[in-house]
Amino acid sequence: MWGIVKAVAVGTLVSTAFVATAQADGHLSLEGKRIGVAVVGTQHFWDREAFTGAIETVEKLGGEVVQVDGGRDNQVHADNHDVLLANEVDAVISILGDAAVEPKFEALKNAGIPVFTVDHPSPHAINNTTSDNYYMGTTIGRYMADAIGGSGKVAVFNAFEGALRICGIRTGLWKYVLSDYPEIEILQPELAEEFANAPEDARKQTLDLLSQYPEGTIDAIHVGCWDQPAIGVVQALEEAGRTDVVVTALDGGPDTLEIMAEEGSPFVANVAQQPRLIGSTSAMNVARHFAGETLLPQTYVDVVPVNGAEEAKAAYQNLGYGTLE
Amino acid sequence: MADSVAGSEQATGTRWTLPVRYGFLVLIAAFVVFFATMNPVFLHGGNLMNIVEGSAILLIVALGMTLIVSTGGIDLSVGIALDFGAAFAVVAMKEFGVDWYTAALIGIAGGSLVGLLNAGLVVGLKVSPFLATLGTFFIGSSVQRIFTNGGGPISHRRMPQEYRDLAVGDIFGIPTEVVIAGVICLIYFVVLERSIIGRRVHALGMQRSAANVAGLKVNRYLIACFIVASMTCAVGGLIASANIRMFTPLSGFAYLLDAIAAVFIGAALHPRGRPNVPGTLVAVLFLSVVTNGLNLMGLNFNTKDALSGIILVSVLALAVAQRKLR
Amino acid sequence: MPDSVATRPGGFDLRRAVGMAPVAIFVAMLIYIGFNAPNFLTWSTIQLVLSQSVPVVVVCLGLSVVVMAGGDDVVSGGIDLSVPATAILCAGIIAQQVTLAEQPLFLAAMLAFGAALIVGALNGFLVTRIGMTPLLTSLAMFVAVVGVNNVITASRRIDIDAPLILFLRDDRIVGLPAGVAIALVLCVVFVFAIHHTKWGLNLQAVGGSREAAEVSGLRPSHFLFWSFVIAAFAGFLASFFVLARGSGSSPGTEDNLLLEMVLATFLGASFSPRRVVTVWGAVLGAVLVAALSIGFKSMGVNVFWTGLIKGSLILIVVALGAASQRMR
Repeated sequence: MWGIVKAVAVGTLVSTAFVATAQADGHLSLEGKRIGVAVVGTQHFWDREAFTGAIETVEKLGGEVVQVDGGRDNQVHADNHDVLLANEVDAVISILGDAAVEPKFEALKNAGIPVFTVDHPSPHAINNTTSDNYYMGTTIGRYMADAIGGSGKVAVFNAFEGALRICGIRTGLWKYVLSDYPEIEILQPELAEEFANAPEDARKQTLDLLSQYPEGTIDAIHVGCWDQPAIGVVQALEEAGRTDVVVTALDGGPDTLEIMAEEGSPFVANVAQQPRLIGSTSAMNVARHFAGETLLPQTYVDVVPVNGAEEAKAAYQNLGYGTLE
Repeated sequence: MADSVAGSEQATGTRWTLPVRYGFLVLIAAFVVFFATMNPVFLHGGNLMNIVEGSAILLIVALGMTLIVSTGGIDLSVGIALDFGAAFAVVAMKEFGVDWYTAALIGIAGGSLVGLLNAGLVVGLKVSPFLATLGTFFIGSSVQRIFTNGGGPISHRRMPQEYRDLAVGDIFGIPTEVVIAGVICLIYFVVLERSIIGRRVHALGMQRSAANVAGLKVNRYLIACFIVASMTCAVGGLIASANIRMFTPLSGFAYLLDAIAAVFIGAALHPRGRPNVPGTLVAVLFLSVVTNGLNLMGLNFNTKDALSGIILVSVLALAVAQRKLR
Repeated sequence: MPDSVATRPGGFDLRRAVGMAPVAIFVAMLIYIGFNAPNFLTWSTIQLVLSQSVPVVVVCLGLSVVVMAGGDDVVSGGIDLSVPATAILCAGIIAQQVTLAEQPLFLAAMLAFGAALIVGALNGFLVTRIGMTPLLTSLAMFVAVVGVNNVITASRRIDIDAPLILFLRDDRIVGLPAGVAIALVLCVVFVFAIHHTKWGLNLQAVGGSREAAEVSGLRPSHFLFWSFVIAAFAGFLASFFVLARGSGSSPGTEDNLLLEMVLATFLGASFSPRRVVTVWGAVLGAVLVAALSIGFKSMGVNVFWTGLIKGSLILIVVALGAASQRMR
C-alpha cells in the first residue's frame, strides 16, 4: 500500500517539478509550430493514450498537429515519417516502432527536423521519453517470485522480446531476477501471444497449456511485455477451475486493474504505466527544446507497482480511471 | 451426403474408389493418431472437449460462409458481422443497461446491417461479391476504429451472468456454445440441404442464368442469404464477447481464412463439389484438431504457425484431388 | 443497351460519363487535397507518392499477369493473393542471409529467387494439376508462405545495409528516386512482354476465353501455370523494394501489402474502358491509392476516418464501373 502511495507521490512531484521549471524560465509554447506525431498503431490502450497525450499537449501549448498512424504496420509507420518530412514539420514525436524508422529519423535529423521518441531509444533522436522499463522488469520479477513462494514452474508469453527493445529490457530483467531463484523454472518452449485479438488467443493457448500441465505442475503464467493476453489467461484459468495458478503482467491498463481487483482473482501483480503522461511529457520536451533547454537523452516517467487487489483499486483511482467498488 | 450415390459410380476405376472416397476420413484419423502419439494428453476428455468447444464460433462463421458460397459468391465480411454482433450487444448492456436477451437480439440486428450493406452492393449496385464484401470489410473495420477511438476493446466485466453463460455455461452438461452451434448447424442442414429453399439457393450458385430463366427471384434470395449469413455470424460474435467479457474490435478477421478453408474442404468432400453443411462441420472439427494438436506438441510458436499453414495447403490440395479421382 | 443512347449525336452520352466518373472522382479528390494540404502538389511530394507505391506496383505486375491468364472473374478466374507473401518471404530470406548469416547479397538473392520459383510452381501445380481454384490456392499459400517466413526470420526485425538496397532507397537515376526509375523500367518490360510478344498475346487470349483458346490449339493450363511462376518472380523483384522501403525486414507487413495490391488492381480495372484488369490500370490504381493516403495524412484528416473514406471511395468507383459496364 505504501509502495504505491510513494510511487504516485514521487511521480506527481517529478511532474510538478517539470511544470514548475517551465514556468520558472518563461512560458513554454509551441505557438506557430507544426509538430508531426507518428504512432505505430492505435489499437492498444497504451499506444492510444500516448498518442492522445502528445497531441493534446501540443495543442494546449498552441501548436498544430500533423498526426499519422501506421495501422500496426512498421513499414507504413516508417513511410509516415517521409510524409512528415515532405510536410516540413518543425519537429516529430515518434511513438514506438521498430528499426525500420531509424533511417527515417536520420533523414529528418539531416533535414533539420528534430526527432523526439516515445518508447524507442535512438541515436538520432534528441530525447526518448519512456517508462522506467528496468524498474518494471525487476519489480515484476520480484513480485512474481514472491507470489509463488520462490519456487515453481512458470509459463511466459513472450512474443516480442526480440522485436522491441522495451520488451527486451522488461523480459530480460524479469529473467535476470529469476536466475537468482534456482527453484523457479521457466517452462519451455516460451509461448507467443498474437497482437491482434490477444485475449481470445491467449485464452485458447492457456486452455491447451493447462491440459498439458495438470494441477500442481504449473504455478504461474507471466506476460512479458504488456497485459492484454492476461485477460484471456485469467478467463481460461477461471473456466478450467485452476485459479491456483497466479498471473502476472505489465502495463496496468484499466481493464486489467479491474480484473486484479476482483474477488479471488488469480491476477496478482502488475506494474502500471502512465502512457498519457509519457506522451504529454514528450510534447513538453519538444517545447523545452524550442525554448533553448538541453534535454537528457532519456526522460523516465515513473511507473506504479501494483501488488494485489487493494493496490489495484488504489492505482485505478490514482491513475484517473475512475473508482472500483 | 445421402445423394452421393448418383454421380460417384463413374469414378476412374473401381480399384481406387473405396480408399479415395474415404481418403479424407483416413487423413483425419491419421492426424489424430499422430497427435495422440506426440502428446497423450491430446486424447484426454478435457482436451477433446476443448477442441469441440473451441470449434463452436468457427463453425457458426463457416456456416454463414457456406450459405454465401452456395449462392456462387464469397463473403469477406463475415468477421465484420461477428464484430458488429459483439459490439452492439456489449454496448447495449454496458451503456444502456438492457437485459441479456434484448442485448443478444440487438447484437444480431447489428450484424444484419453488415448483410444489408453487402446485399445493397451486390444486388443493388451489381458489384461482384468479392469486391462488395471486401469493401464492406474495409468500411466495417474503419467504423469499428472510429467508434472505439482507435480500435481498443470495450470491456464489460459486470455483464449479466446469463449472457456470460452463452459461452461458459452449460445446458444439461453440454457447453452452451456447443449447443448453440449445434442448433444452428442443424437448422442450416435442414434448410440448405433438405428443403426447397436450399435447392433454390444451390441453383443460384450452380446455374445462375438458368435459375433466372426458371422464374426464380434471384435478387430476393441473394438479399436474404447475405442478411441471414451476417446474422449467423453475429451470433458467433455474441459468444466471442461472452467468453472474455469484452468486445474486441477487428477480432472477427481471425476466423475468415479458416472459414473459407472449411467451406472449400467441406465442398471437396461432396460428390458434386458443392459447399455443404456436413462437409463444413467435418472440416471445422479437423482444423480445430490440427490447431490443438500443434499447440500440445510444444513447438516453437513460429514453427507451429508455419506447420499449420503447410498442413492447411496440403489438406486442401488432397481434398480437392481426391474428389477429382472419384 | 440500344444504339439510341450510345450514338445520339451531340447529346449527352450517359454511359461515357458514368464510365469516366471513376477517374473524375479521383482527380477531384486529388485537386481538393491539393488545395488543402500544404506542399501536396509539389514535385517532392509526387516523388514521395511514387516511391511509396513502388512495392505495391511491382506486386500488382505479378497479379495482373495471373488475372490476364485466368480470366477476370475473381472467384473462378485467375488471381494470385500470394504474391505479397512471396515478396515478404524473399525479403526475409535476403535479410536473414545477408545480415545474420553474413552471406553475399548475390547468394542470398539466388536463394530467394529459388524460393519464389518454388512458390510459383506450387501455385501453378495446385491450380492446373490438382484443380484447386486460384482464389483458394493463393489464399492458402499466402498463409503457408507467411508462416515459413516467420520461421526464417523468427518473427523478428532484421536490418539490412547492403549497398544495392541502400542505393534503391536513397539514390537517384535521371532525376527520379532509384526505386521509382527501376520500377518504371519493370513496368515497361512487363507490358511489352504481355502486350507485344506472341507468348503474351496468347496468354491474354487464354484469359479471354478458354474455349476459344483451346480450339485455336493453345493449352490454357500451360499459360496459367507459367503465369503463377511469373507472378512469384514479380514478388521476388518486389522484395528488393520492400527491403529498401523498410531498411530491412519487419514482421507483419504482408497484410497491408496484400490489401493495397488487391485495391490497386481492381481499382485499376474500373479505370480501364473495358473494365478489365490491365498492367497500367493497376499501376495507376496503386499510385492513386498512395496519393490519397499521403494526401489525407498531409491534410490532417483524423487517422481513423481515412480508412472509411478510402473504402467508400473505392466502392463508389467500383460500383460506377460496374454500372457503366451494364449500360452497354
